[in-house]
Amino acid sequence: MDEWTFLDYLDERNTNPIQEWLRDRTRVPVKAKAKIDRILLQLAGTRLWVRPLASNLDNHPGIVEIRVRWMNTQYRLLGFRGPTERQFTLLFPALEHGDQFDPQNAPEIAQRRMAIVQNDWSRACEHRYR
Amino acid sequence: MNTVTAKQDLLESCKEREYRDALNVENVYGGICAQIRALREQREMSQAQLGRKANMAQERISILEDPNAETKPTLNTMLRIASAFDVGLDVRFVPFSTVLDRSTNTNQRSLEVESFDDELPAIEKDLAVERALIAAHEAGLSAGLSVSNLSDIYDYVFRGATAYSPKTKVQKGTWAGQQNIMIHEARPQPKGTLVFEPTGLIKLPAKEEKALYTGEEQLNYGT
Repeated sequence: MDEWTFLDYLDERNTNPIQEWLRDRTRVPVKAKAKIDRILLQLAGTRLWVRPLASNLDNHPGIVEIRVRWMNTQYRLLGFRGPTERQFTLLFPALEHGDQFDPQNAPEIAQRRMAIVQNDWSRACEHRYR
Repeated sequence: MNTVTAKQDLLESCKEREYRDALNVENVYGGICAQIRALREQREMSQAQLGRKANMAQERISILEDPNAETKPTLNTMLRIASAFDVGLDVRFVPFSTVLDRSTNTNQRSLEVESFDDELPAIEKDLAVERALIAAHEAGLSAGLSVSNLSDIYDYVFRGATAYSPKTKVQKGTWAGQQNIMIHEARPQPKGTLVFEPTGLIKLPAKEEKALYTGEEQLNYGT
């Protein structure tokens, strides 16, 4: 750990959509949750992230996707580096089918949320692994 | 987030059997992927260079470093990679506390391992210090001290000293009015002599009444 701290986006009601998604067993089975946790912990300890585990999204400046494959499901955790140094904020969890995000507007949602967090740091909280 | 908080979170999740079984799997395979990359970067090698050393294609190295890859490395593959890096491979069952430690202590530097040749001087130094400790322990016993066991001595040893072919001398005496054992190690000098220099200080338990000291002396090296 130490290189990066993960944060979660908070919506206007102060709820945490990242944690809600991760705790929803119908969307993220427990084994997939373990894999996501392990990959996030690995990235937290890695200064330079490289493909295929993480990559910048073309056409969506600032947005980074973290790629987790479990069984035949491709999870995509969209986020950005910030709001301060050595922080990475998870903005929106999505899936990928073929070359398409599910939902398709996931990158746009992530970009809107990024702007919100950049303007108001209280709209993010520390990510937890439980 | 600090490591303790992350570990506490994982511990809560691990109370569910299915999660901890899954974390075990991810810790093994994800950990191997990350460590292969860390070892390769530590040596400033490309995937192709590592592939040549391990007699594997670059594409296979790429897969080995990818925790999302469908193909998982076999034990035989890991042994080949270990040989290419000239490091050991330790496969053993461990308590879950170890799984939690390794899951949360993921800093890339902590994954780096020296090759045998790079590690060799440190291995020899550690063995030399251990031999010196045993000699000091035995000398202490023969001098009438009741140091209970070697591990008591270990706690006090200064391990930063470099030593080569050490000989330890422990004699009765006093040193600065303290109740101590001073460990001296022999350092080879030009012209084949050894100079004994103090490298470790063992503070005896308060109950001990005797103190031991070795003065500096020179011996012919190799005789």
